[in-house]
Amino acid sequence: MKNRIRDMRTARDWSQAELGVRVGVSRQAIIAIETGRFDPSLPLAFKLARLFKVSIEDIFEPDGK
Amino acid sequence: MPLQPANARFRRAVRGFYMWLGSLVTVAVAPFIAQSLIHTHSLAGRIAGVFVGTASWVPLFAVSIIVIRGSDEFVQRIYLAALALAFASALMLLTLLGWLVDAHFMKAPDLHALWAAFALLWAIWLFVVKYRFERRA
Repeated sequence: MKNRIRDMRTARDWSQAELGVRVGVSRQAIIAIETGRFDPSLPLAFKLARLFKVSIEDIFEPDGK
Repeated sequence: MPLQPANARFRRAVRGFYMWLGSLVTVAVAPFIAQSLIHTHSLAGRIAGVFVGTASWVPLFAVSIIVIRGSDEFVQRIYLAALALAFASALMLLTLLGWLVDAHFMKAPDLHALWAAFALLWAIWLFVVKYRFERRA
């Protein structure tokens, strides 16, 4: 699944570790999500969406779309 | 979720490391204690030896469960995948050895070596899965 987390994070000048702390996961988890190796759970996706004040669809996009 | 101070996270990581270390030392030392108890040849000594040898894994399992429960979903995924692969590999190894023994290609293996092989398989899969998930694009 593609996502725009890296763009949104860098736009706020946050490090991967800082974003991880804000949503309660490790830096490794953020790296894996940004690189598309790990799809987050729905609760984590909602946390990210709330943090960036956007909808989940604005962050994540299915591969086939 | 409130931000957790860096020193609190560091303390937690250090505590976890020492728990791992302690449980690994227990697993490493217990067989020697168990052997010495068994070699007393008394019934009580043999029972105690079996108990010590078997129960020595409990701290490691307990620490594993504590670490997994306290981790985020990404780390839990890594552990789950590694455990599944380790279980499948161990089952295949056991099956292979069983058939090799049945076919008279080898004698029945030493169970002590098998325990170590199972632990090694788990460690290898954990490393492989972590690498697969964590390497940068």
